[in-house]
Amino acid sequence: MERNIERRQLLSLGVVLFLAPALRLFPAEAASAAGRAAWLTPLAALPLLVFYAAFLTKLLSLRREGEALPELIGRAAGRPVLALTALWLLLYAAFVLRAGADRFVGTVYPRASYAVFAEVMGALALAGALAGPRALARVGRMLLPFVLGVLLVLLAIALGSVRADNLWPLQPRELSGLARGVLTPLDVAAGAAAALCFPARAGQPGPDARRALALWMAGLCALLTLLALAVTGSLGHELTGELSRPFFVLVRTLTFFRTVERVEALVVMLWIFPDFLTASLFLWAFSQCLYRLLGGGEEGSLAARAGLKTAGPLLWLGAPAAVVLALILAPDARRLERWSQALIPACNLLFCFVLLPAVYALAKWREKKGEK
Amino acid sequence: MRRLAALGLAALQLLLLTGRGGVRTNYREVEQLLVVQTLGLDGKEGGVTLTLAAKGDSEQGVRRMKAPGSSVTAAMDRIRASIYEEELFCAHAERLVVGEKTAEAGLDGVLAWLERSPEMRLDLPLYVVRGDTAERAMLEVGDEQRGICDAMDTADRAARRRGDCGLTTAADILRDSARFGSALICALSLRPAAEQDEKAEGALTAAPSGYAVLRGGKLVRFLNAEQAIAAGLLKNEPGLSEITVCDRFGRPAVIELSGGSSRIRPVWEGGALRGLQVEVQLRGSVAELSAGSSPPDTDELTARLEEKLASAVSAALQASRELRADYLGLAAHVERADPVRFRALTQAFPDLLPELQLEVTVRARLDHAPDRKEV
Repeated sequence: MERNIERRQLLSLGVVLFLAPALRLFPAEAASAAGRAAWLTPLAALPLLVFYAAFLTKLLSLRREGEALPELIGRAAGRPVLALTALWLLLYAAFVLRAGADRFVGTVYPRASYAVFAEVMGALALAGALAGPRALARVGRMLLPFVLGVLLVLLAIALGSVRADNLWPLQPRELSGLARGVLTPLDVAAGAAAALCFPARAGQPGPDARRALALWMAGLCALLTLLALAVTGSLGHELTGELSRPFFVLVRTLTFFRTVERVEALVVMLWIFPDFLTASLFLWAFSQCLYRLLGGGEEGSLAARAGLKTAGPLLWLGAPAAVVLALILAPDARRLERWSQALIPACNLLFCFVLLPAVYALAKWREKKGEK
Repeated sequence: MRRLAALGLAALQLLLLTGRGGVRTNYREVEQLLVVQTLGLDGKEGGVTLTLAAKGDSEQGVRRMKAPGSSVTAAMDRIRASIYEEELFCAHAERLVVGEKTAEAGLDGVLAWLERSPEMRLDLPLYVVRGDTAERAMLEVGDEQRGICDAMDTADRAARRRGDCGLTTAADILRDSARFGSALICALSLRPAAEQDEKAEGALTAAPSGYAVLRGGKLVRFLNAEQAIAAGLLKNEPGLSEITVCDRFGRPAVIELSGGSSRIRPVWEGGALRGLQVEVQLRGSVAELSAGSSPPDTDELTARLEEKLASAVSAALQASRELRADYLGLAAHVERADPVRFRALTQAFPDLLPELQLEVTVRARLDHAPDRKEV
């Protein structure tokens, strides 16, 4: 299927997808791992991310129009990988619904139930997924200047309260913490880039795609560096590491021109856009994977017998499943923290750095053997 | 069809967001809010006493509320349940005052509450009432029309510009306690109001009164006025302050300090930290001099000022040594000067403090006093 999404739209969508985990996860995790060197972690991750960008363009170039994993790596290996991918996409969509709801409850509506936020966002994500990836990419392109503009204004104001001794000098212990701290920028940036593979056009990605994706990665790293400088520089790495949402705590303490304060509710509201786009895109990708898994487009397959001509109807199954999963995933804050800080990042890293490279290696091996 | 379904779904959400089954709306009429500006907290056996104060309108005057509770939240709920009409609103609280005894027992619980509360800000200024309780400050300062909030508005402004009592926020205390094991908190003292009238005879007011030192979250000492000025200089937050010295005729001269800075350098002997060289530079001008036949000798006044400040700086450092409390953040200076040797120190920095040799140098410069020639 020719989806014909412009690269600029796609990369804009990627930045918006990146913003939700970046603000949720990065400041506290980087500060806990690397202390005052938190702001160096994105820079340390950059070479790996540039390499990963090159890898993704190669992976995309292997795929031909209409091809999915079973065609790429063989039916025997393709189906389990497709099933794993579908599960991961559904889990991540559910997690986004739950984490977004928690942000609302924790910052704006302290006595509300998270269920209603997860349900509303699930239904909105279903609407987004029904509209398809082209519409999502366009929305991403439209939203990016707004969301990024607000973020940059907040960071610029926060930089005014940065204390140099919160960022310098760096101890060897902190520099050695960089190795662990690098995992979070890798997780959020590589995760956003890998998510773009689902709506990206199949086939040769174009001569300068690798360069464009590498520059995009550099932009994300610059944004993360700025974020770490503002948050760790203002609150100190000790306090940043203790807080579950240090960025929103920082926003809560900002006063604009000595007149306007407590703008965190507006900023939290703004962050429903990254959640909406992420949940929508992952639900859409889930439906595509499930459709392939059911043998969509093949005669006599489960999909054909069920009368499925496209993946669209499967969204009506995927969205409620994501909402139900979101509601049972983490009934309390402690379990949500475990999902947020350990399980989801670990699954994401496995998907980006184990599953996708394994798929690539298998596809290349099959190509060499002439099986394709 | 897909577009219609998408639009229908989006529209359906509006129903979920309203009514009793939807999100509990946090929309509130501003007229119905009782906007709390100052919170007071005193620990007691098995709980706390919370006092809240809000500026009222010209009819109602100052609003003061008090309730005990097993926790801050319980006390807050008790107040919430017992006020007339309005809804308690603490999101724009401007300060938190704690009693001396409470601070001595430890502020960890209070700080943890501030960290967890979605309503309170972490940059909330904290004050400790010197020699008294927060309850007395909250209930007895001022009269029927003006209360602790008005007094504290003035105190906040003073703390922002003065060098002998800077504003210390919960975030500052949390960060410094985590990094240095010790922190400064702004002290407040209750004193008779200068502005007296018949109706408000014996009224109290609250004013900043230097700093208190927290070690491990517990109050361990108050700094006197001169030590507080020295602490401000050593933390490179000099602000404005006045100091009185005597000239050679014994006449008191008030010097207004308008700025300054400090430089702290470690003295190493191999890998061992032997001492600290502290160099303070400050500038000021003669603000007031007793009448006399001889004009003031600026060099002499400068020397006296240097001597007095050197003594204050030494006393502030001495307090740090005695308490083993690095409330001045000296470790940060040592670390910045030599990160490798700092990391190799075998003892925690506060434990090294009593053994350190201190060398204090103060250099002052008296600028031209306005509208008066200095000979």
